[in-house]
Amino acid sequence: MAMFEISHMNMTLTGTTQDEILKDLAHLAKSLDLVTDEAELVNDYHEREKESTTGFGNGVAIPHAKSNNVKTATILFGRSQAAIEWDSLDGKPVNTFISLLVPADAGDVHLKLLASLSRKLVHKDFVEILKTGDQQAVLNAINEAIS
Amino acid sequence: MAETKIVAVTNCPAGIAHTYMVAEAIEEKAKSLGYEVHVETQGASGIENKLTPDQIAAANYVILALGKGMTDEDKQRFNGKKVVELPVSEALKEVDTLFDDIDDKAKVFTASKVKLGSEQDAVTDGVMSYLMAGVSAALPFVIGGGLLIAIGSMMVQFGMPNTALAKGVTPSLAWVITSIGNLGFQFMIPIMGAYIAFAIGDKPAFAPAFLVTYLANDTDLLGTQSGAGFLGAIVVGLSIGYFVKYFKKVKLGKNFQSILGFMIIPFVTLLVFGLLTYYLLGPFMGWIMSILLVFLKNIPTSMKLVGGFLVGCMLAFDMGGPINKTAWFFSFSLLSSGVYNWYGIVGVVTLLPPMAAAIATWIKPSLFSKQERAASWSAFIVGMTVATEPAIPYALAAPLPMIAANTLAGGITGAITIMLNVERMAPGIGIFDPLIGLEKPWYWFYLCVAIGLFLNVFFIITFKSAWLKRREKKEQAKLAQVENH
Repeated sequence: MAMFEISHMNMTLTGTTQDEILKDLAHLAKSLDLVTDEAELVNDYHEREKESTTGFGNGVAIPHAKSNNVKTATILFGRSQAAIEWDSLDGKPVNTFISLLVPADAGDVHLKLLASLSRKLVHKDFVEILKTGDQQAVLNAINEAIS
Repeated sequence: MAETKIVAVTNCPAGIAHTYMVAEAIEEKAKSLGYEVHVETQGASGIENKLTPDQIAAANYVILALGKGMTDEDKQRFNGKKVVELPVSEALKEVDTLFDDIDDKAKVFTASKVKLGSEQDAVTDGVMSYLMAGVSAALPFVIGGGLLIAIGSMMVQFGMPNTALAKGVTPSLAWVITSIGNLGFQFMIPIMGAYIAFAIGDKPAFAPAFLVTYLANDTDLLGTQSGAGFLGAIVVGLSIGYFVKYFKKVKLGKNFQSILGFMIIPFVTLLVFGLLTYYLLGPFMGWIMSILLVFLKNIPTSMKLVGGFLVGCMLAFDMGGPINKTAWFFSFSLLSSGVYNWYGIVGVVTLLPPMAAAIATWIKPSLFSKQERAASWSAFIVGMTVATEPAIPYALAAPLPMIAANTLAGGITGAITIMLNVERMAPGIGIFDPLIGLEKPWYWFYLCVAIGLFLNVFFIITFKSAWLKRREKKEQAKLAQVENH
């Protein structure tokens, strides 16, 4: 299975708080059979946010989880209709989410691909596509980053 | 000017996102500033782009952007470097301004090799770390030079001629080798001064400190009886280092700022400190040094005994920690002034703790844990050739008896060593030093080591038995108390 495809995207997340957005993402993951337990993923997301915020500025956040609950290394993408308070590094609310899910025993190949995607996230032009590109453009950009 | 070199390490809790984001951000930013940069990522897929010792050695600054901390062992490799440590999320936020005034943000990091309980804090910065930066740069000079001198003197001992260069005379090979070796001792002082200053004031401090320390130590130029020796290296190194550090903050305006570091600072510093040293500091320090040397040479026997005991205790006490380093620094620094017997104590005493701990596990295995017994051979071999550190695990397992035994044995052995006038010219390979002529006379050296080991093993067994018994009694008392209730 591909790490990222069009079904992994939701361009109209309805949540209005951090908790709701994380639940939306977990629901998406469960519906794609990427995780065993939906509630546990929400927990793992929250645990990671407690360590330090994943909102790295510019309205983008990268909530992620690494656990046995995750079946396969994947990427989820979402945009919310509302601006979500995320305690971001720049203090601004977030509306673009790119979520990385990794099983505890993930293979090296997958981890390396996710690493190269993470590296892309500090490049302004890449972030710009995530924020404003249409669904196809985002799909292409992410798949290019992990190819 | 050579480009700035940066090394960095990144990690984060999950090891899948921020580790790499920050690595990329630091690389991009550093490259945009024209710096050379290497970033090691400690992510979920293990360590990638592991920094090589060469990269670390060449780096001007180390950036540690950490989300899950770093072990002391891992951090050890940045000993003596200028380090900026910050949380990984901060690093992401501040990457754009991270390199502005980085010199003020960075702290010279000194790894403390031993931590005895929580009482000992690592020397993270401060004067001692600068001095050690100087010493570590000077060491290879003494090692290389010392070995050459040892070879030269062995050649003469084996009957080869020792003919000096003179008009119409071709010098003998032994003399040439010895003379090259002597350069090592001559230059260890300016190198030490230069690197002390470098650790504080960075590059612009290096050249003036090198030249001025050389001047302070040169009796021909100064016309004094004694050079300033290591005292000169410390005083000149520190004062030039701090002078330059604050000098660098001077704002000269755009046109001149670029020549401040490589032209104005070295020039002004050299002129000021050169003259100061020539007329004032040099003669004064030379005078103090000659008093110290005369004192050490004519030191009364009783004082020598006390001194040797003290140095021996200090060397054995914390096995490579700051107290050991202080005693070591004193003994080592005297080498440049041709005083070798204090360093002889180092040669003998630093061998003892790990070797004695290993021998004790063989004689009385019941006093030690399985791991301690299993580690004994490596402790023994590393201890007798390279370093005192293998004694640390044994000391941590039972601090009171082990450290007491090591310290007491170290002190007594130190006193004996200096009474027998064992001399050591340079760091070598521990117990084999006499074979390559670095430590002499060989018979006294081995006698001292033998006595030291005997005492140390004896003390370990006695103290640790008593300590274990007392602990057992306490446990029993506790148990009895529990049962009574």
